[in-house]
Amino acid sequence: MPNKKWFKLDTAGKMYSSIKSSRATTLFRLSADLTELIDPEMLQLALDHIIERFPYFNVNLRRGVFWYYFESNETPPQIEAEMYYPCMYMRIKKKGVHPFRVLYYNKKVSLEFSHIITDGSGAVVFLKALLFEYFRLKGIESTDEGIFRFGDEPSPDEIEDAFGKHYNENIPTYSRRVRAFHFPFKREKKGVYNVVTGIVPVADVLKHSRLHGVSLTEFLSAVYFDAIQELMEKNGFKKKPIVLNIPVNLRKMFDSKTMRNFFISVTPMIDPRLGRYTFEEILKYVHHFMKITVDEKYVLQQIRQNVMGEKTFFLRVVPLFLKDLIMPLVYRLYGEGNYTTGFSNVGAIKMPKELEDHIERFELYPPPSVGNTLKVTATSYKESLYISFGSLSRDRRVEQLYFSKLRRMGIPVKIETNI
Amino acid sequence: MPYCSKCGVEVGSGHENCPLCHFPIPDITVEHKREEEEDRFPTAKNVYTKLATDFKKKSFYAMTLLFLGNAIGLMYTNFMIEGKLSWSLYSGITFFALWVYLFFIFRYVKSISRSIIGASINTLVLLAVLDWINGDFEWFIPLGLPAVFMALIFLLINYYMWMKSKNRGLHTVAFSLFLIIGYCMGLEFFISLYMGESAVLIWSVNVMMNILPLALMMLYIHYQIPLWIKEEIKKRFHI
Repeated sequence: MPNKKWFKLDTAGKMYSSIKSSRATTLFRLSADLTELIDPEMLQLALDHIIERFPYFNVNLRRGVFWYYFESNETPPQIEAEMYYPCMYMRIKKKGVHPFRVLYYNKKVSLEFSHIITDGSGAVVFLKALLFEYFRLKGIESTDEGIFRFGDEPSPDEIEDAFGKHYNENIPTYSRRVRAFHFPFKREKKGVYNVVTGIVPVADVLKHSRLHGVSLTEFLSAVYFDAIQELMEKNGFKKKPIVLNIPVNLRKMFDSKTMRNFFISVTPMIDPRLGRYTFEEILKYVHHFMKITVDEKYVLQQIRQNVMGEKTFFLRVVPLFLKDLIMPLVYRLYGEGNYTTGFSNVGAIKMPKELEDHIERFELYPPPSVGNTLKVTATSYKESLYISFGSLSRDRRVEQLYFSKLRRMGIPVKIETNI
Repeated sequence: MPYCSKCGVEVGSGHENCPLCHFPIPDITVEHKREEEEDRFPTAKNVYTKLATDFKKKSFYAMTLLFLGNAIGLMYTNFMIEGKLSWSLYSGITFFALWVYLFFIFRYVKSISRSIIGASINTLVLLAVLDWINGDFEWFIPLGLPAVFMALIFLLINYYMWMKSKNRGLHTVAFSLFLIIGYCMGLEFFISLYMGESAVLIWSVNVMMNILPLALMMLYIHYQIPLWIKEEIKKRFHI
């Protein structure tokens, strides 16, 4: 019997596979709203076609003795009608299950990917390819060289473990441990995930960020810092450092084509114990922090820090079941314990001109997290920016403060929720 | 388009209150309601409930097979060796009682108070049968019955207190500790009667002396230390 193709998990995948639970599902959602009702048969056909272009996603997570690994999956992926809350538990280790699922509801196609296999950028490429193929089957042809197409040969570079490739053991490590502020919100019962999306005109936000000489991500992060600072003051919460976890896509910096995880987290911090920060101070701080940390030397040091563990002989030989027990604790202590929340911006999603009128919007929802009850993602499409708060709590104080701040700046906000 | 006059954000039509601050949204778009809005989310089901139910079912079946297999195996061995059922009756009835406990633990009976009553009846039956197998039905009435009955009463009181308490704090733990003291005293009373002694309380008084200060301290902390004591402590111990 011929051996099935398999590959090792990347650094982020190794961590996520061991910390996943019924609550921290590691699943994030990227969805697209079309202008017409979804045709399930056509969507299934598009998925059947396009999955051949992405063999590294057509896999099944399997247990080894020391590490998990991905093995090629002979069960074809099936689309499903959406019926649960977003980003809910998936039995990803079960035989035949893919590390993603494609859902449809009315005019919306949702793609939920586990972070074990890829990050937001990989998901964007896959969803664009799926939509491209779906419209092609519906008879709407378009031309765009950037989109992966059915029939193209996948490049070997797409499957590379970019973390491993750029790991340099001769670089000194750097780590910062902070006992960060965490939202003291009561969690919802298991199986419930609340999403609040604020839709704002991207031009208005860009105008404000340019006015302050910062990027859109820096501007939105600064508003988030300010909202959390105000939450702390208004409610008398014990003052602790507020730390954001902002993932940075490394594909451009290292000219990588990988479709697997390739990001590092930069963690700007303000410390309200030192006094109240004005919005301008926060902006200045975030802007300069990003300038310093989104730099090749710093990034290589972070990669070294993240990959170092899995290269250690003594960690490698620890049996997988022990790793599964220890990793959630390590992650809580050294990962989520060190930051308050996450803010992830996948940037502007662009589709070929011919398809633009058929797609209403794209949205990205963050994966549910137990350590960081609330996380935020942003993405833009055409004239709108979609800022989504994913929360395991019913508390809406942060969202209210955040969007009220944007409103006070004169930026119109429209709110949508899944509840 | 409807707006929240408190947050200033626009909300989708069909919202009676602002999704962020719950402030009432003025009903100005009744005739346009839901017309231009798309239904973007299904009425979400809870995936966890289904997973938990499936897991519970499988676990219960597995445990049932395990208990049944063990009970039959032991009875068969007993019969093959002695030609009759003797010691295996103890294990048989114990496995049956464990299975009934599991039924209540897995919440096949939704009401907790009914589960407590059911588990208590199961314990009574178990003790009665064990005493009966023993031959002389001697200790069940004077010891087993009052011990289980008291445990049932105390558990039910504790449960109702816990459910009725709006502010669950240290005082609820303190009341549970009082009930434990009461149970120990009652138990020692019945044990001493059964042993043919007069009703003297010895070890339960020790239990009380250890637990009572802790329970009182919890009550004191819960119902706040008076301000003048706080001030006095601050005055004498400030650094």
